[in-house]
Amino acid sequence: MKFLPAAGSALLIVVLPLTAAASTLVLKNAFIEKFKNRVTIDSSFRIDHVLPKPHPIGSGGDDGDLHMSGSGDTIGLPVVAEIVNAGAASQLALTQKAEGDDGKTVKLSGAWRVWFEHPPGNGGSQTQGEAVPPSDNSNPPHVFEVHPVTSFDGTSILKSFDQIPKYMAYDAATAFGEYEKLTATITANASATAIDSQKAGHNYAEFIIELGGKPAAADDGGLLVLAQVFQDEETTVTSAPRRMVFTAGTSAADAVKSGKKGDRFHVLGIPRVNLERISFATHQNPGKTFTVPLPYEMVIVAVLP
Amino acid sequence: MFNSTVLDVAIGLAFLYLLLGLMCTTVNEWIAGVMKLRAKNLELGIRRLLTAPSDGTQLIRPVDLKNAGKLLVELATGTGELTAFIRSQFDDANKALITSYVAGETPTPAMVTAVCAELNKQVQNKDLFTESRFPQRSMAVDQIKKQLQTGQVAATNRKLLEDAYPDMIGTLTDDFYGHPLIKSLIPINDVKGSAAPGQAHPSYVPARTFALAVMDIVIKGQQGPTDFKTLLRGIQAMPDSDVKLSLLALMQNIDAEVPGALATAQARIEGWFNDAMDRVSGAYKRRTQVLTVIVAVLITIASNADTVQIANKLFISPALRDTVVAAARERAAGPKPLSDIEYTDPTDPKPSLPVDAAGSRDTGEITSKQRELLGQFSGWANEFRVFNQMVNKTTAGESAYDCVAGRSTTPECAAALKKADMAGDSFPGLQLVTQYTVTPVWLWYVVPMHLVGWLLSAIAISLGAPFWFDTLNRFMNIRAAGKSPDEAPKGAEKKVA
Repeated sequence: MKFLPAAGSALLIVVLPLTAAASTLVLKNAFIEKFKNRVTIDSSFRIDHVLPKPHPIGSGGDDGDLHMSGSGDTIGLPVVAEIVNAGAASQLALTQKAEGDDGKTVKLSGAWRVWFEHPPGNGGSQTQGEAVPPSDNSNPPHVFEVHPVTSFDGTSILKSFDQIPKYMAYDAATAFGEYEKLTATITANASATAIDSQKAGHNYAEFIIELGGKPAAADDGGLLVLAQVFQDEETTVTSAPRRMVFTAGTSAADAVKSGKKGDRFHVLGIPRVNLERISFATHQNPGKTFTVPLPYEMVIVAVLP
Repeated sequence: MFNSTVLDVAIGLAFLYLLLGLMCTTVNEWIAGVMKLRAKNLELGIRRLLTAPSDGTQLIRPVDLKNAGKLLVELATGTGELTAFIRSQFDDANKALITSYVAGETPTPAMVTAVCAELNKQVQNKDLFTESRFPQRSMAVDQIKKQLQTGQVAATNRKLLEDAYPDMIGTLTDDFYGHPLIKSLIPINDVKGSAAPGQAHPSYVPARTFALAVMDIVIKGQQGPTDFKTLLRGIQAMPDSDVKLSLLALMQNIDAEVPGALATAQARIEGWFNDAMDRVSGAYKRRTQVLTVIVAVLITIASNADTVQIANKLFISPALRDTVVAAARERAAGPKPLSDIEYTDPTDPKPSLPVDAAGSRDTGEITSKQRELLGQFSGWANEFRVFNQMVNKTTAGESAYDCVAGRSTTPECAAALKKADMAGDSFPGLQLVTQYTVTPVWLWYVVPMHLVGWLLSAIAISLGAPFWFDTLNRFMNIRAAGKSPDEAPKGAEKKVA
């Protein structure tokens, strides 16, 4: 009988991690190299399913976004595109149009976003370039998003990059506390990189950034800058500066483009995997499997008052 | 049920699996290095890409003729001993075809077939080699003779013919691996400053290097700036083959007049290579997974890592459990594994080149303290003690093990026990073989007792060290939610002056 607790523990140690197994995303190295210093992506988008109406606005997942599932030729993965502030007057007409677009293929642009928020279950994987069967709902298992969308079917919606009225974003300590705990196990060969990571969340975070230098131009005209992240005037919430990315033409990018070292901004942002750091790490460890803290960066949606 | 004891047992198991997983990774890497698995796998992929599918023989095919016209002229009119010998063996029909070739014209398929037939006659000729026929050779005479004696006639003769007619016979793959850009990727022996012994090919070729080497081979190493038209002419001049068709297909729709046409061609060749390597890496992963399971089983049995017994030891001994959890905490909180990915310059969000941060890496080594800890949970000491007890018998034939089990106090039993105690838990060595009546009984005692535990351990170890590192961190995070008061508060916050 004395073996029972031990056997129970043994079973726990083998079964528990398997139930919480990480999901795997396999990206082509060429894709990583192309997009690691870009903020946005342009692609065709086969619309499989559009959420009948934008999410309500409140807190957490009630963020006012409109979700569309599908796939894109440039991306080669299951994709969910999300329009920010979808219920706002400026986007309303477009949102209503999208709702009737199931099955159509349109031109789509927006911030690319790799994030393990809705990964395939049971430790499953998604590989770039494999066929993407049509989805029957707006939120299929996916690791790749175009979020926020900047242009839909030729119509620019850069103005949607703004504060979400009445929405309560995650506070910096909660959101970044979770981001900083995430890890990734990475394996790269000559052509592709596999990223294993745990399910993540905490989409929208409100925080303060202090620029580490002048913003640099991203490869697509956006802005990139390293910044310390603060919860309030003096409390940092990350172990090192994190990269902030700004989409060209947004009011947020306009606000920081002439910023300099030490300037502070109160912002709303969403996290995504930092492909530049993934590329950096795989170049250091060619052909090896290694585990690192998940490299992430923040897509800044709005500079807040 | 899910109390801290169970969690600590789980942490202890995850930690020990991590250490055993690191051992498994080290052994795997060593085997992959010794057997050159990566290099062989890459070569297989590149050969498939640059050569027509192998027919399983060493026969020379039309695609292997790098310059059929030059070879026809050489065989028809050459004065070398080898050439004269090959010519003397010609069939009449082939001789007529070969000698009818006019230098400068494109050889007809019949002529090419005739040349291949004559060369293949020599590929299979076990008496082809003499030192005087092959003054130019890349193999030593002893090696050639040894290969011929061991039946490797076709492979040896083909290589000899390639050496004799280097610019006329060969494959694009051989040219590729002989290219300086590729040869420079072969690991260097740090001590001698030469290529590592036996390492013929690199185990990693970047797509860009692949494309540059292929393009240079196609334009035949032409020096100075080149352009897309030169590359296209080079491809069109290649012998008919799948490679030529593939390269021509890749070049379709590239406008030679547009600036950047050559860069586009290079990018397409890189993409072609990347797609092929995706398939190769999938096959390699499947092969190494099998190797990982085998190594995990061997490590499990060699170290007698029995999950059930380890868990039991952890469960019943709070002191041991605390020691392991402390060591696990130390490992989990140690330097980040393998790579430091933080930016080094806060003003540069897109550094151009990665900087090697080897100094900050966790090398995956197991410390002596961790080895000692492993020794407390695994090993064969108890089982060897039982074996030594089974071997030492009383005059009546009763083993010391029987005496222990029967709690006997007879003088004979006491003497046998004393003898067994002197042997202690030492490795029985050859006795495992010579005591052929005892060994099966001992195995019958050992194997059923550990089978389930070994199975669990082998499965766990084969999941790999990175998996257990993540799991250990996950368990540590759960534990931190109910941490003891003496532990430092964990928080992301830190004050910045």
